[in-house]
Amino acid sequence: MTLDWLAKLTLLCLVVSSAAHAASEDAWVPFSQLIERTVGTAGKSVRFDWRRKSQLFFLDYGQPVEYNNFETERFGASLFLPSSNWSFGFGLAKTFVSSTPSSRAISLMPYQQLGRPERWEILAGAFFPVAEGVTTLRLPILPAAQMVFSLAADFRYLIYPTLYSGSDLPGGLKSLLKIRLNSDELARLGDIALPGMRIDSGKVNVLTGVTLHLYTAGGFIVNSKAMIALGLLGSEMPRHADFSFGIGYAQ
Amino acid sequence: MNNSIFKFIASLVLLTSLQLLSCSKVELDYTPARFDVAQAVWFEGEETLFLFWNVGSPLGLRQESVVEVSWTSDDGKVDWIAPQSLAQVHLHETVQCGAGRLCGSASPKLAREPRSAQIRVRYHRDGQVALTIVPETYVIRKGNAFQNRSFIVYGVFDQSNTLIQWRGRHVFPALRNEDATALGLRRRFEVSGQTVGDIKNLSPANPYHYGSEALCPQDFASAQLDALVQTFERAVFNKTALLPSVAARDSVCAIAKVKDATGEFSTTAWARKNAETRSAFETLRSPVKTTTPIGFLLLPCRRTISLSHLEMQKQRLLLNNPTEICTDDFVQSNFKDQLVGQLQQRISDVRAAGNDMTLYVAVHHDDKTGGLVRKLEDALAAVLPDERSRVTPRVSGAFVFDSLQHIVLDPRIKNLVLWCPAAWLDVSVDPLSSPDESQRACPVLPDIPPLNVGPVRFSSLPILPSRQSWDDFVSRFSAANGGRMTSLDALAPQRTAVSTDLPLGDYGWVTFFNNERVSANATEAFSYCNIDSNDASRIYFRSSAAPDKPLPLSNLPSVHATAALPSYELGLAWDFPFLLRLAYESFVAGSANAVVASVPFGISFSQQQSYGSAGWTQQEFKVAGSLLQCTRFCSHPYFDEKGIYNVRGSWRDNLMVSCYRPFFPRPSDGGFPVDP
Repeated sequence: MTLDWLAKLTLLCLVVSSAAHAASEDAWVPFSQLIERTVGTAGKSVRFDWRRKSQLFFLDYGQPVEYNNFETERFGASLFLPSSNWSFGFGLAKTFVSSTPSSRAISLMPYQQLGRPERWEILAGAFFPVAEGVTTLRLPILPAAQMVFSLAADFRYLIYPTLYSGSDLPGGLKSLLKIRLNSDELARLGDIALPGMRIDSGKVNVLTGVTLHLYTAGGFIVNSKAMIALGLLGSEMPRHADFSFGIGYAQ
Repeated sequence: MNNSIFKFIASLVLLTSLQLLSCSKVELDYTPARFDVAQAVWFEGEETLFLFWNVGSPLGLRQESVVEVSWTSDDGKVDWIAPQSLAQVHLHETVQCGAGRLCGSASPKLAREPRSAQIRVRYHRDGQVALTIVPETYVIRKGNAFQNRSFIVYGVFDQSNTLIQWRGRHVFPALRNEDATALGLRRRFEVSGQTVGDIKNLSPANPYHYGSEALCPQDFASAQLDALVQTFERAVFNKTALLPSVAARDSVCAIAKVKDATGEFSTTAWARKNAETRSAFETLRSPVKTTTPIGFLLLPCRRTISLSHLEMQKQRLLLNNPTEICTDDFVQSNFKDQLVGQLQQRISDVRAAGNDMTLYVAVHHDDKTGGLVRKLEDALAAVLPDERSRVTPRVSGAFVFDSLQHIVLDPRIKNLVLWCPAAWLDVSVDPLSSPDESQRACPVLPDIPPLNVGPVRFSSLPILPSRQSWDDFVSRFSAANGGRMTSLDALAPQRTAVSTDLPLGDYGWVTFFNNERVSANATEAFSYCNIDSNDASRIYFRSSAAPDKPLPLSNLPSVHATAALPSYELGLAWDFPFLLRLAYESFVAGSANAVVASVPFGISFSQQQSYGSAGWTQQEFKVAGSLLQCTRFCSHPYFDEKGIYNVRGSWRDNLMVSCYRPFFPRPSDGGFPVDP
């Protein structure tokens, strides 16, 4: 009884202080909005406290939408370290690129289209939760989950293994430090490029966007990402979307 | 109201942000192909059609692109076909011409003249889109071997002139030899039956002499070289060297065989020896020694002008017990003769010691009419010119330290006397004419310009000042700060009994010291190059045809080519007969003006100075490297620094005033010599 009374009193204090704060910004705020805002600002995990876990593992399947005529798919694995604000992580992905009827038609003519050959990608990323709460799923057999909506940024370094086969260690390291492919490297990649492809000389892909994580009580995660590749740091590729979907586990 | 405006602006910002993040499609890049080389050359005598191509595109062609050829002749039409699929007369290597480029060559057999030819590049072997062009087409009719065949063979010698490198050379109307190689064309050739002798009947139209005769001349003897050498590359060395017994023979003839669509073609190929050269003269030596000074002091004996200045003059010339000559009666007509007599007397006394001499003359006077110094000039003119041309021991020249500034105008001695202090800064002297040695040697300006810092004044005095400068300086500072000569000597070359001087215009003289000669016969030739020697410009020569006319060494090759003479004497040009070296202490003198007194002080510096001809610091003048002499095969072609065989040039004609620094072929160079 005492505890219940104490909880009500605390809630009342929060409401009053928020109302006083809001009064200085807006002339009038409905009480229902004031309650929602107060609960949301608290940012406390209700169903599953993922911030208390030490690692978040993800397996992703993605599809960069490069707006050219080549098909690109990406499979990746990543590890993030959760925290109360920014969570940072890294990962590795293999990107497969294939021709399409359209790209094959282009290759028969004196045209080329910008693209990136098959490659590995090293990922460094971060996300920052901006909305989170308990959500229930339509299927009644599934339990309620903790939904976290975050702003995210990815920095991906593209690795073309062809460039490093046969090169010595200093040469390989020197090449790694550069963010653009030189003419010699572009010529060597020409052997693995798909017909009709002009290779993007950028070796870095910078993306920003949003992620949506659904955490179940057992620590399983459903992960989706919608990003925009910004075409920065020497990349000739125009801005394009990059969607991915995956699962994970919080430990 | 304000809230609505805020929401509207926020919406605009949000829309703009979304626009910035909007995506766009990747455009197609148009990259049309372009042929840099597209040639079809048909040789009637070889019944072979040569095809060459080099094609690329701005973004590069892909591996899937293919080149195809087609032609029509009276035998029919050959439809589009990849050149690699054709039966080739010659070997064609797959070559790379850069990323995204396709290049190559082909040599199908074609017995009848092509009426049309086409080359195209299909962008993808599975597509039909292509760039088709009509190549440059050339038809070479039957004819002589050196002008009407696609390949000639010739030989060159290595540095030792004993080892032969046999070379092949592609001959196409619009394609260079090395370009044909770069496009993959390889020709097999073989050389056999090598004989040695002297080449005859050279034709300017056929510089390689290839195919000049069907067989080697009968008077040629077996060279005892390799029985057979062959290669698919462009060059191959003999393994055997020529014997010394045939060193005097100028050429090797051999039978060269090349393949074509009709079978084998054989004719004569020739190797001509390189010009044999050596330095025409190694070093011109002229021993230079320190001369013995003979001191004279001209001064008024019956009066005193300035004891301080007189002492300074004696100290500067380091006159130790000089011959004093009174100048009180210099206006008398026989003064000059007396002066000459005293000069000659002392010279004669010192000559017995056997060393060259230099006169050091201090003139202490105040005669501003110039009469005294004119008589001194006359006296020196009576003595020095004869002495200059004498055998050592002799007087090399004179150094006069005057009391006043003076300029030597007498042409007889102005290249023999250093007269200080000089007056060449005098406005009466033509500023455009360059002063000769005697005038420019002794500047009257101080080493350090005067400087006043508040009550303290700094100044310095030239080591050889005029009396006015000296008196001014001493009145402001002190005689002790005027400087001090620590050593003074003159260097001059030693002359021999056969030394000869020839005037060299306004510059000076050329001395032929000791019969230094270059001998040559009429078949020999010379090449002048002054890169390796700074001394070459000072060396002159004269010939028996014009013994009184020295000419620069650079003229010797052309003089010998015009009218060959058996020998040329080498001499050394100079503009002043000796080098005067001074070592002295100079002072930066200062004086501080106090209220009632001036306190002088000085800071000394040791300095060295040289006046006269700087060339007399060395005793050897390098000729080697400047003058090369060709002793045999001087009309043969030659190699240049890059190793390119200048087959149309001859050593004799092309290298008279060019440096000969050949890069000869070596067996380790590989099979593709530089041969543009």
